Amino acid sequence: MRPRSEKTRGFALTEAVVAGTLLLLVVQVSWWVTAVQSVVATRVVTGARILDETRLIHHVLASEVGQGRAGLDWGIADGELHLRAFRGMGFACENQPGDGWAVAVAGFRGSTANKDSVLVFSGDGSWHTSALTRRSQRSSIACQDIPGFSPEIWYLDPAPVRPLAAMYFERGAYRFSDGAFRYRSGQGGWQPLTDTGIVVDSATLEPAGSRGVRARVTWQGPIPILPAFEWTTWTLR
Amino acid sequence: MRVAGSPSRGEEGFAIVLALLALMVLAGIASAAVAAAVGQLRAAAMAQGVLMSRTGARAGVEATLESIRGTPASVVGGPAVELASGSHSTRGSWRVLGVRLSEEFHLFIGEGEMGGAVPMREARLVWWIDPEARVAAHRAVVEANSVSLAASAQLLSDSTLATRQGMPPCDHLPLLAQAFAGPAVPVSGNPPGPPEWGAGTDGAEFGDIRLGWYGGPMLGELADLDLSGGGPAPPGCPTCWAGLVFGNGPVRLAGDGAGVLIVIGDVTLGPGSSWTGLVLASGNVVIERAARVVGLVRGGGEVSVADGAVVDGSACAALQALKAATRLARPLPLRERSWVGPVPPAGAGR
Repeated sequence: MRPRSEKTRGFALTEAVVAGTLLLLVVQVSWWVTAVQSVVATRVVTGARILDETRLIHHVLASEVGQGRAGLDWGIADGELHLRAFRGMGFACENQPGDGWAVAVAGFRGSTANKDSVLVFSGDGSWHTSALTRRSQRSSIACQDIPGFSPEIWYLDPAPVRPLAAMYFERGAYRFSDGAFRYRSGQGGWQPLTDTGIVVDSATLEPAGSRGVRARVTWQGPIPILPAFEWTTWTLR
Repeated sequence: MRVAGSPSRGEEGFAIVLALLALMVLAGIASAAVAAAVGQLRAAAMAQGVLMSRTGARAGVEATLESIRGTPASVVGGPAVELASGSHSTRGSWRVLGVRLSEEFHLFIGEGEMGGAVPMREARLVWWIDPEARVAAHRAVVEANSVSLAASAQLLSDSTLATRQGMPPCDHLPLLAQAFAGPAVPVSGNPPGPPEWGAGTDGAEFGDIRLGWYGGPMLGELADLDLSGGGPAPPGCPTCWAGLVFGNGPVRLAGDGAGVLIVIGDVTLGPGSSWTGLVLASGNVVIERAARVVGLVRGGGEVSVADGAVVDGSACAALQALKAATRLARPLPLRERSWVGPVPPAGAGR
């Protein structure tokens, strides 16, 4: 039998080197492509999240600013939007108890005694603010039947004269801080409403005329160009 | 035997592997992008639906305020009444419910829906004149800062609820019975405070004159007959109801007339003339010799009644005059704060 020639062995070595190089190349390309895919997917997902959270901020500001009257219910100081955050309303029930005020109430959350205040509309056409000191739910109260409204008894201090309707609210404030859009109820801590990622130095809340709020939100993005959004919300009240 | 140009075993399918790998990567990116885009599209569509529903609810309330006329059908403490409904764009609908909170204050609740999106509600407080409540707000036949009576002048308050010729009876109406029944209806008294009379803090347009939440400028716009600058005289008949007769500046009447007479300035009823209904003037009211007023009078200055002149207090005449002033029978949003809320959708839990 003839032994394997030198040329044949050398060819096998060259072939192995080429194969190894190609393998490395394939691995590298695959790694690169995976990394690019990851980056692109991250951008897509992050972009979607940024849009979602910007939409959330827009919705919150539009709702809060739209509910109140500029100067009376909300104002901006030091980049913070301070406001009466209205959470629901009620109107006088047909029958009134001897003590307290029977109201049909509807809101995005229930009224909370010792936390909420109430802006009361009286029969003389005036508005006054009272504190909600106590509330109770009684299904036995005769009230106009409107879907979504449920009867309650409110105890207000001071007690209003000839109350007809009311809005209950909490004191609150919004601002951009520590990378997020935050809300503070009363004198409590600032709670984030969005994920972090907002460039706080470039995110502002400022007055726009006498009845508007101009918001500017800039996000830290995975792309070199920072995604920035700016809009003005007007009160309609 | 290996043929030149044909792939060896180790090279078979290599390109396919690379192509599949690239396709998988591209498919992954594309699917992520599609998922994100679809999610954004849904969120945006939902936001659009909510916005259009809210706009529909708000527009419904506005449209109702602009279109509805007459006296309210709802009763105080009674169930909500559907005031109006309609559609907007191609898939949206709205309706407005009215709840009567008091004799003249109502809550309008607008409901808007847009093609299966979350329905939204908006509520607004409105004032809607009630003639009976308006008349019952008077506590005397003549309300003025001062009253001057000549020796043979008469102020009568003993038949304020009596039925008179050409007028339906009004003594059965509870608010009027409460306000004017009894043996001692005052013949005169001081003008009441806001919102019945005087501006208070309600705004400059109520400074000269007001009728509930109608200020001077709006009363001028709604007038059926404008006597400003010597306009045409009202129909000459004690029961020819002229509606709302308005004058900006001094007004002098020489004949007979009936209705709601509102004057920014002084008003004078000449000798032998008459007015049936309601007389409101920001200045003086001068009732000259043998002139006659059947109804109620309110003046911001002095009311002087000359010899032989009579003010025959009649709540029924004032009521009939207000009812005949049909252009006043319309809901009016409060001047300052009128939108109330938030009102969540009907099905939303708290």
